[in-house]
Amino acid sequence: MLNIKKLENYSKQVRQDVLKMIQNAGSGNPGSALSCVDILVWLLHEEMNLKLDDPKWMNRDRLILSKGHAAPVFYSIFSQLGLIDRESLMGFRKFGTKLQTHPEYGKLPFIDFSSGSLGQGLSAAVGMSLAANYLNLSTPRFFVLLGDGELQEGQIWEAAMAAGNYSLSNIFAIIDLNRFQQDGNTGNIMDVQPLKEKWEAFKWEVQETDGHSFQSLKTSLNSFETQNPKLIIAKTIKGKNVSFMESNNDWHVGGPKFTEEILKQALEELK
Amino acid sequence: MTLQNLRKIYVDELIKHATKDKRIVCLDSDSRESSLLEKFTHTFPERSFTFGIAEQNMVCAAGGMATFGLIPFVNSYGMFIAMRSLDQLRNSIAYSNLNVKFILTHRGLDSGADGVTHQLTEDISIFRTIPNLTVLQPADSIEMKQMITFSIKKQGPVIINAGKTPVPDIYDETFTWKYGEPSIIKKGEKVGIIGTGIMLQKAINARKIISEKLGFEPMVINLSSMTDVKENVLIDIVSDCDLLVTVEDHSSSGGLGGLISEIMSSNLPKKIIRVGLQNTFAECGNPDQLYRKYNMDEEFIVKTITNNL
Repeated sequence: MLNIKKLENYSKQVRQDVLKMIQNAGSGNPGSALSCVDILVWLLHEEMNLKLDDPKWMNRDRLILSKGHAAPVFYSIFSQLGLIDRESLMGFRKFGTKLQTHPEYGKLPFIDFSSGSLGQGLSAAVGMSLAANYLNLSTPRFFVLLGDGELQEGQIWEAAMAAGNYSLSNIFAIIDLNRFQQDGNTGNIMDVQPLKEKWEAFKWEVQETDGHSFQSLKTSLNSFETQNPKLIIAKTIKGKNVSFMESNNDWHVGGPKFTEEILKQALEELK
Repeated sequence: MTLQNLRKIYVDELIKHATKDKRIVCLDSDSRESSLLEKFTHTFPERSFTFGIAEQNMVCAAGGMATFGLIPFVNSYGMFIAMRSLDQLRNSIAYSNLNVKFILTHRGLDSGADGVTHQLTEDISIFRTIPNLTVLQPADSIEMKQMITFSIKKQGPVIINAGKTPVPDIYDETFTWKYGEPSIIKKGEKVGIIGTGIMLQKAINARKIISEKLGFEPMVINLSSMTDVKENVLIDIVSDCDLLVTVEDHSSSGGLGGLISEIMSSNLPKKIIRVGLQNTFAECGNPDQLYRKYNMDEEFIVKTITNNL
């Protein structure tokens, strides 16, 4: 039974953290971070099988943030899980930090693969799944968060093809479908639709859902029936919950316009 | 002179290790035939993974496997590992120091009739500049076997050139290869010819010709490690040479020649002539035709020494 209120509170704090971190760093991607908060809160706080005191437990679920520029979301949730200090969050993107701009494997526990150069995370999951199967580890699941712009990278389709060919049923890819990328609306730059049909053609089982509803995400996950690799297309809003950022691609990056005053306005909305 | 196919030597050696070490797995990109992997894939079908012609996916998948404690050996044409999946190799493998081993076949003008798109002549210069990589060019089967053993023990990414054309053994079974160390293959004086990989035999042949023509024997030195070179050992070996000539099946820029130039210029500057592919794409042909046309054969090494003494 999902404790929706608890998860919503986590999400609220993550959104606040992420905006503070990005504003403090002077650069980052606020819109892209806000769209995937609920997905990652659901996964890390609720769904994934982890032992927080044993990050090397081989049977744990893995999460690869292939959309690496959502790293601040990761770090905020890590602080909620007690894996890092809350104070260290302001070190994000700063010289000497463990909170690198994009997640770096080995820098913090539970970062399962480095990312930042788009398109590579799903391939890593393919390798992990093959390794787990070879080692007779039947329980780990491999969650991969993908951006929708990221789907323009050819390597994503190589990985999709391999996962389908090998029937890697323990891979769960989630697309943060916020409909935007750096230069604008994904549909105008290089349309990736129709997604469901494409992934099904690659032998994936696909569910479409609301990426901001914990219940819908959970229901989607529980609805899968086949031994195929699995995809959740999570419809999201870039800049979610900050009115002037929502679906406003000016907020793909923060930068100099993201002043303390603007931060204050955003935090006010997130109270 | 018995010629050894280094790809075959590699696979045989890998099978020996894999029999005892279950962590070893093999990945290919529709390259089993070209890498001579079939013996491994028939022996260990459950440990052999093909990715089809999709090298970028293969390289990152290897990284994923390494996070589970496996030792993936990635096998493909040099060009497609070094260039097509270079972002993946750097950002997913090297950056995280993942324990993936890359076996590059068919590189350099040694690729011959496969033509320019398969003649990788930039790999040493590329790989040397990426941290955490161990880059090896075996001279012969003796070094290849020891390099495979070394690569399994070493934590982190290792790249080994397995070539195409069979080569004669330069060393014998008593030789102990040491990572980073150049070794003198033929003693000599005045001129040091430093070669790597398939070009070593040309260096040896050139030495013979020089001996007959000019009455002295140049030293021939093998450098099979393109990373972590023990500079003091190299400087000690070549300190009395008046001229150094580097020889590689690679661009004359940035590879072995660049490496030697960097080391010597900081320590003991000498005149160094870099024999390699000079700022051009080659063409298809058999390797000997290509080495001759593109000034990389024994005759050119002899001419280079003669003109620069």
